[in-house]
Amino acid sequence: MSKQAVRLPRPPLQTKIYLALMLTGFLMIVAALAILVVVATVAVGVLDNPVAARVAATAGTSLLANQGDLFAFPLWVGPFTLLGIAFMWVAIITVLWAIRRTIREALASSMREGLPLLLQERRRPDEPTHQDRGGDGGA
Amino acid sequence: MAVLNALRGMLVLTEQRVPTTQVKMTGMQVMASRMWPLFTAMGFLIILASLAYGVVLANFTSDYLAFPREVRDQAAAGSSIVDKKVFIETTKVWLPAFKFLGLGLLLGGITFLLATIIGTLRLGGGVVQQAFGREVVNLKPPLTANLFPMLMMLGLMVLMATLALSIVVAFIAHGYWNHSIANELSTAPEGSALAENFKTIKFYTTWLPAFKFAGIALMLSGIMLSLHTIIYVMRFRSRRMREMVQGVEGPQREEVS
Repeated sequence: MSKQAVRLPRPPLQTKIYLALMLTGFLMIVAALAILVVVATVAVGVLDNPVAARVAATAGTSLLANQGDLFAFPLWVGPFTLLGIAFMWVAIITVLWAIRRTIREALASSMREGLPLLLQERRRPDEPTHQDRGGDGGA
Repeated sequence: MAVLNALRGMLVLTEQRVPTTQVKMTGMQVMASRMWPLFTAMGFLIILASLAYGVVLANFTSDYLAFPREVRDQAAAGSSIVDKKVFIETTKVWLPAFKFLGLGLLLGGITFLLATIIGTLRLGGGVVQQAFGREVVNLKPPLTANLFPMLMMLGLMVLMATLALSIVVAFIAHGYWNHSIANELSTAPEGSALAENFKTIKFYTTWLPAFKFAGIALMLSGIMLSLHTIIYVMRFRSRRMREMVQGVEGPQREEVS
């Protein structure tokens, strides 16, 4: 037997793209988690102050700014997390697209080339082949 | 970019072939073929139970808000108004984590089903090789095939940990909200047990939502790697088919990008 390798079409481009999409989505979700842990710590800091102090916080103080952050950050971190999940779904769609291309370009072409020959090989010698019956020999 | 290249480098698969006399699925694939209906059914039931709980929660909220604000705030611990408030606040803490566990189990079912598909491709390829009287050659499971069940389990563990933490926080919320809002909660001095409990509830309920999304992200990554493995297995099947046709023996180790 020869050691020569059988060549296949190159793997679809999508198999490389999906990794970038997956990593982007995953990093976005980890970043959102980190931001919310910081916001949670800020919340504990704000709640350490008496209610009266929180209500009476004046403009320019860190207490007022922190109270604002506490309300503002979750408003955009939520959609940001969902965007990360969306990136991951797009990555899944990209891999499914790559599967479709692999079926069409690698698997189907191998079947088309291989099956008629292999079936011919299996057929008994006295049995007429497809070509003997007048077929065109195609897949 | 460097991280991406490192990850891509890690996923460059090395095809390792194993001649075999037995055409069968791996142990993990057999287990996966039994587990996917179970996971899917459990996930679906949890989502249904969450819906039922959501309807009950909506009814309780509606009943609670039927009382004027002043009456609600003045209600004493043990009254039906405070009991409703306790139910509403505790359910709001643990129910989202429970729903996500259901979603995670559904994703786990998908992952197991994909593992079954990989096993079926392995089995089918072996049967074809055997039928044509050739040496049956199978793939040694590549890196992605070993990685995706681990990612799935890790994601599921993150979701279970989120639910466990949520239940603990729900107990704390139960203790906190089981007081009169106007007479006890609003007047609780700084440093009191009530004030500390409120801080704990606020701390956990702020970051737990992102934590459960991290669990879902791990499960989706597992699904992606299993799909990548399917592509890899299909390319191996195509190559093997061409080898059988051309009568050549493939290399024992071949780089596949």
